[in-house]
Amino acid sequence: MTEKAVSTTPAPGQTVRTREATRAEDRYVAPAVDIYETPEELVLLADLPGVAKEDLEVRLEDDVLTIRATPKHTAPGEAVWQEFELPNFFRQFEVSEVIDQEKISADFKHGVLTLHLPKAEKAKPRKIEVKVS
Amino acid sequence: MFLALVAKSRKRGQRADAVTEQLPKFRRQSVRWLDVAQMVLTWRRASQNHKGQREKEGRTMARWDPWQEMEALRREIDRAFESAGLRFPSLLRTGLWPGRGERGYPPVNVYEDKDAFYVEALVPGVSPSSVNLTVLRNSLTISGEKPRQGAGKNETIHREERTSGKFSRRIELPVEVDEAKAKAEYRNGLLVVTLPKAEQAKPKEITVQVG
Repeated sequence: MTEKAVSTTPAPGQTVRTREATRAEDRYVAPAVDIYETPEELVLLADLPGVAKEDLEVRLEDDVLTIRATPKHTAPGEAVWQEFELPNFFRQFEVSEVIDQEKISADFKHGVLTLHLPKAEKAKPRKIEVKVS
Repeated sequence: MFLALVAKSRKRGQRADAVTEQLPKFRRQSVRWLDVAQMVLTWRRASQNHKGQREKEGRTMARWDPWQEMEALRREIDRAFESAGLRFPSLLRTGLWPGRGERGYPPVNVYEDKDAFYVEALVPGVSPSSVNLTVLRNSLTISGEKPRQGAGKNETIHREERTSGKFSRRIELPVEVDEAKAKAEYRNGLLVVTLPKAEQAKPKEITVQVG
């Protein structure tokens, strides 16, 4: 599973904008992810703090997995110290055919998105018994 | 040979300058560098001796020490960058990476209104039950643990960008808070702590009476 080096994708039908106009567009940040592999599947964990379930979009299209989230956040008062912002999150990954794309499942808890990407049957390790005749 | 010449001229004291004058230009330059290097070495040795002596004698009186001055300057610069967080949040792009900020974990935002302070901490993946909050006078301590996943026996880690482990951070507020009325809420990896200001810390209006 490799990461796709695509930043933001313009919406279909959108015309090309000047640089200035592009900058005024929404900004996106790639969320931090962990990816680990078990014998049966790949697990992807993405930190998406401040994102409500309805603001999260996970899409799989043409072997490209897209995670997009737009957290809604209102400051409770006047900011006196700021170390983080809650920007829009966007990250894409390429999913190869060793993943059974039909069976991908997602779970979102405590601001962490967990994606289970089960391996296709042919990619699973298999033990072959050697028969002694 | 050249070094020997310098050393020799140095011994003779006042004649050092005369020798340097006659040397070709680039050599004159190197003599200066040598001088500087030697000066630095002497300084350093002196300051180290001085430090050792001071420690031995247990003296606390501060003396002018170029190394200490440099250290102080470095600290000043660090502090200047740190306080930049206040006015130019857009410069602190590291804070955009959740769990990857270069200051303490978790990264926090502090908001204020008339009655209270609001501390927001980014703690995705930390279960609310593992978060420990303590309020004492004007300080708030957030501690907890973010579990590490994928480190099992049959698991191979391909990418690990999220932080994990135990954390603890203390945030000092400018005024005392009402410990009894403090409350916290956990929303999708974002912890919001409301700390009402103590009665004596709230601003009071004084009406001016015309006599």
